[in-house]
This record gives sequence, structure tokens and C-alpha cells, in this order.
Amino acid sequence: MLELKDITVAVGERRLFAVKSLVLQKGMIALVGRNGSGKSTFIRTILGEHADFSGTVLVDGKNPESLSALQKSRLVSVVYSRPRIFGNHTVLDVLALGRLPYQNLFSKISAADLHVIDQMAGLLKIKDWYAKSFNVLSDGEKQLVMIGRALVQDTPLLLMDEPAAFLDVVNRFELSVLLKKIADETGKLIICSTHQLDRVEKDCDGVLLLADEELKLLTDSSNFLKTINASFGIS
Amino acid sequence: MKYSPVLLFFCFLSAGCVRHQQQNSASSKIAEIHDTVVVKYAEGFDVNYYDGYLALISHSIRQNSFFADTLFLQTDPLKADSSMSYLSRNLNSIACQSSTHIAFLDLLNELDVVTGLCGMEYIQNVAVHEKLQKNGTLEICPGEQVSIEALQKLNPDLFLIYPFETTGKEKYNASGITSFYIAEYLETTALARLEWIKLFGVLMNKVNEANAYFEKVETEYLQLKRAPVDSARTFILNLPFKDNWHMPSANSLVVNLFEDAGLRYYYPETGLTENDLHSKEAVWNDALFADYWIIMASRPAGFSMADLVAEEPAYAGFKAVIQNQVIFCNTATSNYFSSGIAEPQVMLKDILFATGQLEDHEPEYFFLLN
Amino acid sequence: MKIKADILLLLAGLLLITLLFGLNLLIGDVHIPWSDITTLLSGGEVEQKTWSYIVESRLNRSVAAVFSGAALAVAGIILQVYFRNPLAGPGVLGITSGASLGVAFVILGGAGAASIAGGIGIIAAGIIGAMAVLALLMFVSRFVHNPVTLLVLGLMFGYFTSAIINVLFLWANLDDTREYVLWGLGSFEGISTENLIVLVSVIGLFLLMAVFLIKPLNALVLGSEYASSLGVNLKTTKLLVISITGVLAAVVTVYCGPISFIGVAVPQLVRILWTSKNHTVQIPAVIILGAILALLSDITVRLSGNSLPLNTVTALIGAPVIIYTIIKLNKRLA
Repeated sequence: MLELKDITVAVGERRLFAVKSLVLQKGMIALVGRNGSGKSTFIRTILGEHADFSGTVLVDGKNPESLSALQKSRLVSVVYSRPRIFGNHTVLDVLALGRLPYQNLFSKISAADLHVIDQMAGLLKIKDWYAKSFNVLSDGEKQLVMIGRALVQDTPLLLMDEPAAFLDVVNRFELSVLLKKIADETGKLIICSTHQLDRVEKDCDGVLLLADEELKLLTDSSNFLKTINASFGIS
Repeated sequence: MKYSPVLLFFCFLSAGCVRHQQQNSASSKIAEIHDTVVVKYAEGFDVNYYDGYLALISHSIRQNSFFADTLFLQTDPLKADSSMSYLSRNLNSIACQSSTHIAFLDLLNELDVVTGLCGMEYIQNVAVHEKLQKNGTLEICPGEQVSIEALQKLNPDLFLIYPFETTGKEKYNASGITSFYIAEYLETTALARLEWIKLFGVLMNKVNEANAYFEKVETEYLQLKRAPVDSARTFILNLPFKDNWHMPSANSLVVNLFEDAGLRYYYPETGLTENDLHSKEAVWNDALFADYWIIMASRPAGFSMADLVAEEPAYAGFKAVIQNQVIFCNTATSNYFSSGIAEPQVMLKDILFATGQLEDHEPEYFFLLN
Repeated sequence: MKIKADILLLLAGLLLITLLFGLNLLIGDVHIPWSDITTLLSGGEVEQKTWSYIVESRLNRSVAAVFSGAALAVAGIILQVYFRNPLAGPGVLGITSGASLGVAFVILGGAGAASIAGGIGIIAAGIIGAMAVLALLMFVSRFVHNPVTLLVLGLMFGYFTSAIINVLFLWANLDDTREYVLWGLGSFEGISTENLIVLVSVIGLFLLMAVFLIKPLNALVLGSEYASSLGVNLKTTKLLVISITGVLAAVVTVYCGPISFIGVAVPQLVRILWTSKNHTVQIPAVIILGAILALLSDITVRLSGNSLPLNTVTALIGAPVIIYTIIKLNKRLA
């Protein structure tokens, strides 16, 4: 699904990180690294929005920079940390926005669209919220809806840029469990940047560690925490 | 006792002078003085003669504005009350806020006394403009407003102003500049407006010349004047701005001038203001019936009937347009605002000629639009 | 079932436009019977010769009101979603000021609106002015994220352009200055049939072009990053937003003067009245409500005997809506 070859990513003069070869197919992958280590830049590089790198990035075998916005939107969906909306949309309105890449000029929602929405909302157990106003939801609930919207977009790859940044401890716990469940049930590849390490060993199939200008993939789930802490220099 | 607001306002404006007038009231109105001015038509100014001095008074005419102003001039320095302040009898320098003031001074051949002027560029009379430029007359209103600094530098003996705003006068007083309200434009007949030449005659010591000129024009005008208004010749006036058509009130100077030519105004009911507001479409409808349409407007030279209809196709339906009875005065090319004031009898002749009541005349201001 | 209510509301709006349109043809200082109006509209003739012109004048201003109201409202909703700012609109963001500056250069430069060259020049100058302000706003909005700051910037553009216009007055002659001041009061009146055809066709074309913005606007409610991930080409969208709102606002401003409040208030009212968030519904809704408010304003102006300027009436309708929005906005930010 996602392939990186001989990648070196920089921001201006500053080299951020490099990776020789990386292939990810599916599962829940945590993206871990200190502030400024390049987590967001990594995500933007995959989206084809960050051009300052050498090497090859392939999403589903294609170079994201050569794809149109519409083609990309059918391959990759995104969740950012702060959910904001302009307008008094209902939860159903927000979820339905995920079907935009598949709609005609007039954005008409088809029965098939509704079916996908129902399916994903069922998975997240938020079907009861359809008529609720998005703006009155709590931050945790809003982020859940935004994840639902990304799922509705029906892409093989889901990128999440610190989706839990504004969530409390309980919500973070639940989100972590949920993402693992989604990855298992849908067979998607989910890459989720996070600073929260207490659940990585239980809920993640792999960890992408950004440290010392290197991007490493950890796959031995029993040693995630130890390796991460060691690279950060904390025992 | 109930004082009218007019009187109160008058007292307020000229509080210092009123005291003296009362002191002298017993010996006032000496009839013997030669070269006196008798006001016949004008409502906006008076000349009152006292023992050794005279008072020039200008004041508002209509109800919708109040102002008054007085100037004292000595007629006999030996007799005049020496405790009062008088305007010099030898004016060397006058500043004017309006180009119409220039017109009166020009009639008395006194343009040389004009040292400052508002709106030099709007003087259309070429000879006057050249003369003022040659004299080095100063523009005192750069950017539409009177520049106090320019005025102070000029320091004229007298500043003739119009009473649009009363705060101006206070400022001029504070700068030590004598000012006087001239509101000839408020008069309701052309003769009354011309009669203001007598006031300028008093100021410039040319009362006889002023009286003579006025009497000559008056006689000519009254001879031309058609007495009963002919109800078969109705007229409407001017042009609209956007949706609003401002019709001069039935008692305005222009309406009276055209009625003196025997025409009848289509809107005889008079309002309190100088203009009555009509909607464009209401006038369009009335124009089906009005015989004449008299327009005073600024247009390029050679403005024709076709140009007028091109401005608004609806004009093609006007009775005056169909019957070729549109009378036009181009304020951009004629001297309507300057010499027009001086010769109302010529304007009257123009209208009489345009309406077929006079033959052998060369139109000066108003002519039939072709 | 909700969609049905939205569509019913659109149909009711259309009906109201028809009624108000008819009313605006009927009322006026000259009483013209409805039968004569219909005779004249169907190309017939009546006894009174100027009546055809009176009806034509009423018809022209009504058509101008419908299209101008629609144009301003659509420009308003596009700007509000694009800048994610419920207080945005062609007036507050200074876009009409930009158009005004263009118009001022042409009118005060001596080319009257009546002349053909002046006519085309004014439209071109208005559009250039409006688009220049928009491009500047988009550039600045990269660095400014607070919605109110952007509005203050728009107001500053407005002050700046009116300052430049005042400087231009110094060189202009009195007639040109008066022509500009009259135009600045705003009015649907006095548009010749030839100019009306230009206004209707240009506005009609760019309202149709707004179809291409339906999907981008739907996505942009989530912000530009999300919109991009939903397949929206941000560059194309920006170009469409600049050209559609710029042309719509400029054409109205050139022919009817700078008309305030309709562009800001109508999208707000539509968000309250219509439930669907799809711009396939919202854009027709703002078109209809914009036309209704503009017609209502014109009728009010005419009933007042033209003593109320158009912008006074639109302010009476629009300002309360904006105050309500600001209160709501503050509640959410608090």
C-alpha cells in the first residue's frame, strides 16, 4: 500500500529524517517522535504536499505528486488534530462530506453513499448521533465523527495527525482501542502520529519511530516501549 | 410680549449695533440726503438712513432659514455718531465668496476692487476672467472651502459671503475681517435680484449709476412683461437626478420669470422649500400634458434635441419634445449665472422669442432646442 | 422529508419574488392599471404615451434588483465559506471598495458613464479593482487567522480606497464629482435597457459558473486541508472564487453603486431558514433570498418617495442580522 525508497526529507536547510526502504500493507501503525522530528512532514510527504525530499514515495504503486487531488482523495483520507466546521452541520452532514470524492457536480447523496455512512457509523457506534449538531459535541465526540468521516471516504490508507491531541485520558484510551479494531476489521492501513505510548504495545501492529534523523519501523510489539524510550534517552 | 424667533435671532447676531440704533431712533430717517436708495422689489436687503450715517441690512426671506446682517456707513462724518464703528467709504479691497457678487461689481465697473474670490475657475465670462487674472485676484477657496489663512493674508476691507452656514461669519469676525451676507439668490423675481445692484452702489459710492441702470432695465422689463398668464401654455422645468425630479417652487425666481413671459407653471401649488420633490415617473406622466419644457443645465456646446432624447428615451413621449417646444439654457456655454443676473429683460425676450411672442431677436441665454 | 421542506421553501421564495416583482411594477406615483401593465409587457400599446416608458423603467429596476440581490448574496456565501467567516461579504471585505476605486478612476477621470468607451471602461476598471482587493485579501489571509482581524483589514481597504477617491476629487471637476457621489448612494434606478442586458447576462453567466464551486464549498467548511484531502483542487477553487465573486460584486457595484449588507446578511438568513448544508440547495436559496431582499429594499425606497437611499434600507434589514451573527459568534468563541 505504502512504499518509501531511499527517502531523505528536509525542511529548507535542515535535514529531518531519512529511510532506506519501507513497505507497509495494512494494520495500525503508530508514528512516534519528539516535537519537530518530522511527524507532520512525514504525513504531508505521503499526501504529496511536501516536495522537499529525495527518493521515491509510492501510494498504491503511484507517485502521489503525479496524482490529481481527486485521485488522491480516493486513496488517502486524513484526520487532523483540531476538528472545526463552518456552519451548523449535523453529524450526518459531516459524515456525508466523506462521500464527496464519489459525487457529481451537485454533490447528491445516493443510496449507496448512505449505505457506506451507515456501515461506518455502525462500526463507530455513532448512528444515534445523526441528527445532533456537530458544534455542540464534546471534543472527543467531534474527533470520533471526523474519524467516521475519514472512514466514509473509503480509502485503503488513513493518515492521522495527532488526532488525540485535544482529548482527555479516557477518550485517548477509547480512541486507541477503536483504531486497532478498525484496522483489524477493515483491513486498512492506518498511520497515526501520537505522543501517547501507554497503549502502543497492545493496540499497534507496528511503530514508525522518528529519532536521530532516521525513520525506523519497529515490528516486535513486546519491545515497542523499550526501544522508543531508549532512542529518546529515557529509561 | 412674545418675541418672534426672527427678532431674537436678529438681536443675537447684531447685539452690539442694536443699542446704538435705539439711541438714535428719535432722530432717524433723514429724507434730505441725495443719492438715496429706495428698495422697490427686493425683500432680502434694506438701506436705512440716519443722521450722518446709513445702515445696510440683509436678512433672510423665507421661513426655513434665519439670518441677518448689518453694516454701517457714514454719510456725513461730522454728524455721525462717533461711538459707532463704520465701514470705510473708500473700499480698496473686497473678497467675494460668489461669482454673482462679481457680476454686480462688474456692472458698476468696479472689478479692480476685487482682490480675492472663491471659485475663480467657475467664472465663465471670459472678459471678467481675464481682467481678474490680470489684476492678480487671489483664489481664496482652494478645495471648495474658504481658506482662513488665505483670507487673513489678503486682509480685505470687506468679505462678501453667502449665508449657507453661520459658523463662517464667526470665524471671519475672529480673524478681524468684516463680512457681509449677500443673498440675492433668495429673491423670488429677477427684478428683485437685480435690485441688489443698489446695495453694491451704496458700498462703492455709485448709487446714481446703480439706480440708473436698474431703472433702465426695470422699464424695459415691465414693458415686455405679459400680464395675464396664458393657461394654454404650461411648462415644466429642468432634469431629474436619478429618480428625483426637483421642481423649483411656484414662487421661485425662474418660475416667476417664465410666468412673466405669459407661460403657466405646471405645478402651481407652492411648498415651503426652494424645490419641490417629484418622482421621475410622475413628471414623465405630467410631461404628456405640459406644453413647454424649460431646461437649465450644463451640457456640451451644440447640445441637441437628439442628444436630450438619447439621455432618456422616455423623453420622446413628452408633449414639449413632440411639438419641438423644449427651451434650453446651457449653463456651461452661456453667462446665465453672471450677466444673466444683470439683464433679466434679455432673458425675458429670449423666452418670448422662443414661444413665438416676439420677432427679430437674437437669443442670448434661452433658445428652442433643435 | 427535510429535503422536501427545503424545496418547498425554495418554491415559496420563487412565488414571493414573482409577487414582489408584480408589486414593484404596480406601485408608483403614477397609477397605471394592471391591465395596461400587462398590455404593455406583452408588447401592446396604451393610450398614454409615456406609460410604456414608466413601465419599462419599473421593469428595469425590478430586474436589476433581482439580479443584483442574487449576485451579492452568492458572492457573500462564497466569501463566507472560503474565508470561513460568517461576517464576510463583498462590502465588508472591501471588494466593493476596490470596484468603487476603479469606477472613480474612470468617472473622475472625465469619461462619463453615458459614453460607450466610459461604459466599457467602468466595467473593466470595476472588475479589476474588485479582483485586486480579493487577491490581496487572499494573500494576507495566509498570515491572518482570526476572522475579525480579516474584517478589520477589509474595512481598512475600504477607508484606504475612499481616501484615494477623496484625493482624486481634488483633480475632478464639479459635474464628475457629483456624478460619482450620486452613484455612491446606490440605486437600482436608471439602468438603461442596453446596460440591463449586460448586467443580466454577465451576472447570469457567473451565477451559473457558481455550480463549479458547489463541491469545493461543501468541502471547504472543514477547512482547506480537509478540502484538499477530499479531492478539491485548491488552486482552481481560489481562481474560481476570485473571478466569480469579483465579477459579481463588481458588475453590481458598477451599475447600481456600492450596495451594502445584502451580501453578508442573506447567507446568514439562509443558514437559519434552510436545513440542507449542501450548496446545491444553499446557492439557489441565497439567490432567491437575495433577490427577495433587494426587491423589498427597492419597494421600500419607492414607497418612501425616494427619500430613503437604498443603502439606508439595506442597512435597516441587514444590520440586525449581522449583530445577531456577532453575538452568536462570540458565544461560540467564548
